[in-house]
Amino acid sequence: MTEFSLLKWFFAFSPIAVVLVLMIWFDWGGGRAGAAGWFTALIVSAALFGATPELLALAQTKGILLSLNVLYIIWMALVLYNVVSETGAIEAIGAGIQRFSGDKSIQLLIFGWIFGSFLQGVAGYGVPIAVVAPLLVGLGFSPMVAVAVPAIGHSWSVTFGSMGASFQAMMAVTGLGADFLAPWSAGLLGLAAYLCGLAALHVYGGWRLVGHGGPAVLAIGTAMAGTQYFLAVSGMWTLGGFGASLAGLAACLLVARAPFYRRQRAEAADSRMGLGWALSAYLILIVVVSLGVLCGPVRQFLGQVKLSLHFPEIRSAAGWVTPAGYGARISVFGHGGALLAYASLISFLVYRAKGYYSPGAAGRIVAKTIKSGVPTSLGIVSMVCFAMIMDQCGMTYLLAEGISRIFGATYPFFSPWIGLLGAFMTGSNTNSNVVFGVLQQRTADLAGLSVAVILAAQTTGGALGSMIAPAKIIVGCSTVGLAGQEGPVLRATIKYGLIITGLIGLATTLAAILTR
Amino acid sequence: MADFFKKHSARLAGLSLVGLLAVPFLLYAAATGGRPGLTWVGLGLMGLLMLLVMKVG
Repeated sequence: MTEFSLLKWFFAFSPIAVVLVLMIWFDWGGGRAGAAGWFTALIVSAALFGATPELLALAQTKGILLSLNVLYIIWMALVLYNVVSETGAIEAIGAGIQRFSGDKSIQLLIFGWIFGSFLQGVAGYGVPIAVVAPLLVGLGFSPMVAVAVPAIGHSWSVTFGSMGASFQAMMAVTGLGADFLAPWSAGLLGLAAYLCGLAALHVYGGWRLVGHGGPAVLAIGTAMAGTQYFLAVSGMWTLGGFGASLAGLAACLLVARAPFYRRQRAEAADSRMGLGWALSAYLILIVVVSLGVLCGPVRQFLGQVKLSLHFPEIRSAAGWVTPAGYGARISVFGHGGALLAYASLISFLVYRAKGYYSPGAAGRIVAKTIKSGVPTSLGIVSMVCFAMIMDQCGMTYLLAEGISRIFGATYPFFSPWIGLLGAFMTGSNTNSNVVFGVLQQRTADLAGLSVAVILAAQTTGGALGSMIAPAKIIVGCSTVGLAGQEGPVLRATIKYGLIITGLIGLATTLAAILTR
Repeated sequence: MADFFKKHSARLAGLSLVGLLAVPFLLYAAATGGRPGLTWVGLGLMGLLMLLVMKVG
C-alpha cells in the first residue's frame, strides 16, 4: 500500500499542478498541457510510487480503451453537427427562434439559455458560444453580453450534452453505471439549469430583468430539468441535454404567448430553409437513439459486437494492486457514437436529396470534422493516459486520502469546486471528469459519503466550469470582434460561476447529509 | 526545424493522434506476452508521441 505523507501527496498532485499552471498561466492547449502532465506522472510514478514498465504499459492500454469510448461520441457528434451546419440549418434554426418573441428577456433566454443548450446537446466543444454570440450581437446586444450570456446559459447542459460524452467519461473512469450515477447528476444539473437561466438575465439587465424574466425561467427551467431527469434515469442519457433543450423550446413557445411577454412585436428573419427541415436531422437522431436504446430487439442486435481486452492483475513495486479484469467495453454498432453515425448518414442523404448541399459539401464536412476533432482528441487522450498512470499506481488514492483528511465532513461543499477547477484548467467537463472522477469517487468512499452525490457534484461543477474556461471564452470573443479582450468577459462569467458553484456546493452538502 | 513544425502542424497532430491510439495496443501485447524489450520500445514511442503533441498539439 501507499503510505500517506504530505510530501508524497504534493508529488502525487504534481501532474495536475503542471497541467493547471501550463493552461492557466502559459495559455497552453489541453493536448500540450496533457502531454506535459503525462511526463510528470510518468516520472513521479516511477520514482516514488513504484510504477514498473508493465504497469505503465497496461495503464496506457486501459487509458486508450477509455479514450476510444469518449472519442467515438465526440467525433460522431462533430460529424452530425457539420452535416447540419453545412446546409445552413443552424442559421435557419436561429431565424426560426427569433420569431417567437420581441421581448428582450425572452430573446436572451431563447438564444443564450435554450438554443445554446440545444447546440451543446448536439455539438458542444465551444459551438454554443461561437454560434449564439454573433446572433445576439445581431439582435442588438453588446458583444460582452453576447459572449457572457451563452457562456453562462449553456453550461448546465454540458454533462448530458454532446450526446452525453462527459457523462460517458465519468462512467468509464469510475466503472459505475448510468443507473447509479444519473439520478443525482440530473438532479444537481437541473438545479443548475434554473440558476444559469437567472444568471443569464442578470448579466444583461440586473435584478430588474431577473424579476421580469423569472417566471419564464421557472416554467422553462422546470420543463428542461424535468425532461433531462426523465431521459437520464430512463437510460436515454445520450439525449439528456438535447431532449431537455427541445422541451425548453416547446415550453418557451407557450411562455412567449403569455400577454406579459407579448408587449413587444417579434421581427421575422428570412431563411432559405424552414424550421422543420432545419430540425429534421435532430428528429432523425431522436428516432435512431430511441430505437437503439429503448427497442429491445434492436438494442440486442446492435450490441452483438463488443471490443475489450482482459487485463492481468497489476502490482506496483510499492505494493499497490489493481485486480485483474476487463477494460472499458466498446459496443461497435450499439455505442452512442454509432447511433450518431447512423443519424448523420441518414440526415446527409435526406439533405442531399432535398438539394441543400452545394458541390463539395462532403469534403468540407470531413475537413471541418477533422480540424475540430484532432485537437480535442489529443487533449482527451493525453489527459486520460496520465490520469490512468496516476490511478494504477495509487497516486489518485493518495490524493483522495489527503483531501478527505483536510476537508473531512465539509468535503461535499468542496466537491463541485474540484469539478469546476478541472473544467477551468482543461476547458472540458469531459476532461475534468477523467482527471478528477476517480479521485472524487475514492474520497467519497474514504469519507463514508454517497459516491453518487459526490460524483454528481463533480460533473455539475465540471459543467459549470464551461462558463469560465478561457478556451471557450476565447472562441466566443473571436466571433464578435472581441479577440484579445477576453478579460472583461471572463471577469463577468467568473462572478456567476463562483456564486452558482457555491449554491451547488450547499445543495451537495444537504444531499450528502440526507443520504448518509 | 521550427518552420517544418509550423508548416506541417496539422498533419503532425493527426499523425500523433493515430500513433497514440495505436501504440498502447503494442504495449498490451508486449506487457501480457512477457516481452520487456518491446515494452520499453513501446513506452519510448509513447514518449516521442507525447513530445510531438507538446510541439504541435
